Amino acid sequence: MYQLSKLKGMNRMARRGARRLLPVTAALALVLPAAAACTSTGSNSSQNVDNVNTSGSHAPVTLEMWTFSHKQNQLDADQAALAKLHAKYPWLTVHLTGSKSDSDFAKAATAGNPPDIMFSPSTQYLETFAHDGTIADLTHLIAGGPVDVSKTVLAPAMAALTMDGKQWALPLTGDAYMLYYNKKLFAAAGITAPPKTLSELRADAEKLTVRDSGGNITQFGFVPNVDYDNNVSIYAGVYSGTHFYDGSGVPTVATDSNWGKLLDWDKSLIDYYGSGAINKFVAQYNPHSEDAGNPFGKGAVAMEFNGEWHTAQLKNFTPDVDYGIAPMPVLDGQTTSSYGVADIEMSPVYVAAKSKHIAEAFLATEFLTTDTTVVDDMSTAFGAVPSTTDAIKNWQLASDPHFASMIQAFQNPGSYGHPVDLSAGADVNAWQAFIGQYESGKASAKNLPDIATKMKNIVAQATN
Amino acid sequence: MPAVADTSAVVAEQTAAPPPRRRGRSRRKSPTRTAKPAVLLFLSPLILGIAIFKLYPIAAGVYYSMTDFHVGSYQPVHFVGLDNYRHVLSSSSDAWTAGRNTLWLLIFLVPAQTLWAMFVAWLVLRIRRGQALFRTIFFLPAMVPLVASALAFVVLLNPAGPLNHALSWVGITGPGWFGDPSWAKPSLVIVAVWGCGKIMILFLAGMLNVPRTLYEAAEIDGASAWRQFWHITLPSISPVTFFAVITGMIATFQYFTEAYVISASSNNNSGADRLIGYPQNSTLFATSEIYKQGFVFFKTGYASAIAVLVFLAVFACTIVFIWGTRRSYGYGGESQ
Repeated sequence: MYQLSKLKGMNRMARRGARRLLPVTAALALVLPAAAACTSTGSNSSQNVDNVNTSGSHAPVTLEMWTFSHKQNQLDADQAALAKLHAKYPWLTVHLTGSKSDSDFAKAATAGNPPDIMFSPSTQYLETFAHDGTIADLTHLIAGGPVDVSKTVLAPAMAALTMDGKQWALPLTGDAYMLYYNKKLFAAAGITAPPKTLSELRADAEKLTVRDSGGNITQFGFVPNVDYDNNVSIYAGVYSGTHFYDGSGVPTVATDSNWGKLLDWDKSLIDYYGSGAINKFVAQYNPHSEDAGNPFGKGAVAMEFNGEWHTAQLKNFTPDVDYGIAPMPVLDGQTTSSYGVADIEMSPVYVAAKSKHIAEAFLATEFLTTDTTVVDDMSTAFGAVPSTTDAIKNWQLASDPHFASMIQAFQNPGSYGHPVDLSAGADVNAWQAFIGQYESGKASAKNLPDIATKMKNIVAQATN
Repeated sequence: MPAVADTSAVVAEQTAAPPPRRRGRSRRKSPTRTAKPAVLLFLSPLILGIAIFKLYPIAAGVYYSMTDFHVGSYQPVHFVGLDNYRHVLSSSSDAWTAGRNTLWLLIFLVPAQTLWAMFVAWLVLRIRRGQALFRTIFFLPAMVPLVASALAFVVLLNPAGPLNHALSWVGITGPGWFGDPSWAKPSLVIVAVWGCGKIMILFLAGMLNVPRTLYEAAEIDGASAWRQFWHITLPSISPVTFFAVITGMIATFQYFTEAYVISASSNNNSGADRLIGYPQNSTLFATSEIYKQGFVFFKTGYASAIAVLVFLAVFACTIVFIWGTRRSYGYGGESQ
């Protein structure tokens, strides 16, 4: 009983303590977020490159750079590039940290200690960072910089990182999504050239489909499921001549009939295979899309939609596959000039708005993104397409026939990528989920206004 | 039958309410004024720890849920009142999908793992030889890290994996498991059931505490094994069942790791964060949605609003469950 009363006494004390703690905690709850908010408002005053003494007499500066690179050969290429930078500007040293995401960058920014430079894998957060003041506007820095960036960097690559006339990042390599096709299987099916329209792709896919005596599919022609591999980029607009939003920011998925036609093409091909067979294929091969179990390399599918890095994987894992790369076919009814475009995605390099050395960070960024040798070496290491005109001309892989149509598509002014908006990809995510429902028959064309409303709400919520 | 009823009466006697508590003020003197600072000093690490790591995050979460705060943003933070809550509850929000999926888990996962753990414990107790070995075997999965077990099941349940291969031997075409929207959640239940060793150990301890005399009396009265379980074991271990269900329920509201790892490994060409809820949002749960909104789309205020709603849902469910069981069995608080 003594123990019980002792416990009761403790409980009373605890209650009293809690009562005393309550106002303290409440005050903390109010003060700390407000303090965090206060410390995170405003941005560093901008600096000019003109004021940077690039000669050897400049006081030593050490910058922090984060990169999404995680493979050793990529990190080696990053380090080699930074060594070249240091050789050119001996006073400038950049410390590199790998395996960093945009999420890490955002959290560091909130904590008030972001890296000076961020090499990001995609433009997903570009508008968010620009709107939120997380990254520096490079426009005036470019104007005062030592390189004429507009003449050096490819126009579509620069355009992808421009918003409201301001340049928020510089591209360091990029991705172009193309159609990979197995030449041997094409020849066996009597197909002489890769398809140029989605109807042709559908017809070729049927010819290339092989079933065993039990009716089971042993070889698929083309798997269009939105959740498969990189297929979401098929439905991002460039192959159907559509943009997610019109000039006034209203979603077009319910009003532009090409979106519906694209979904019909997708659904009809899935129905041709049967959802059971094709879903099994997706579930079986999706975890192996980038390893030795890749179905295109194994001959389980004759055509595949993929990025340029896939060439390195095929070379490593299945070097005997004889394949070609062509532009992804476009929706029927497009102008003939539409064929040859590609969904292109940039890997941007940002300068943190809170950097204490914005001009120096820009100098490093400009060097990394415009130096021909650096861009070429990085492109080779990342298995990506160079983002400058000279780098493409000098690239050792430019003569590789696999890259020919890829480089052309990358330079094609009609090429563009996923929408860059304040939702940070939430709208595309919703669109992808909708297409998945469409493919499984849980949604139909009559639901297009619903997804349009949802996308509109997502962007509106992000904007407000 | 009457014999069994008598046994139940014995169980009732064994689990009878404790003696009434003593009412009135405790005779123990409260700490003297000189002792109070010392008490507070010794408690201060705990108090500070709770304040900084528990109370502050909760209070800050509630505060952020009423702001437009974005992680990484240098824009001023605005108070938006209940706007985030309105967006969460709007009909086009994915939060509804996450809520439905979480409810599905509550209905199927919690009973499945509780009943399976109870069954395994009962089974292990009935093994005469090698009990320790089987106890260890059934507990081992609980020692495997969640990520490792999730990845193991990704391989095991691949449509072309060993399980479907084995099923084909008996003429069954296995489903797509994690890759099939219809099978993704049941597959997660299988993973959870496989790893329920900790609950099994609790049931085992509870069953070992049941007096042998009750079973001996029941056997003399001719009660079958099932009747012994139903009328002796089950009532006797009901506090353990209560604990297993309530902690299972709370853990299900917080269910994240397995779903995240499994969806992330479903396509090695996309970033893990882009695949949350794969396939077709069938594995999008409450915490996945919080993570997605907060750490993928950086909508910290919005994610905080979902977190607050999940907290309220957990709190409400726990209170209802405790209230219900207290009325029926006297658990979860003072005896009736």
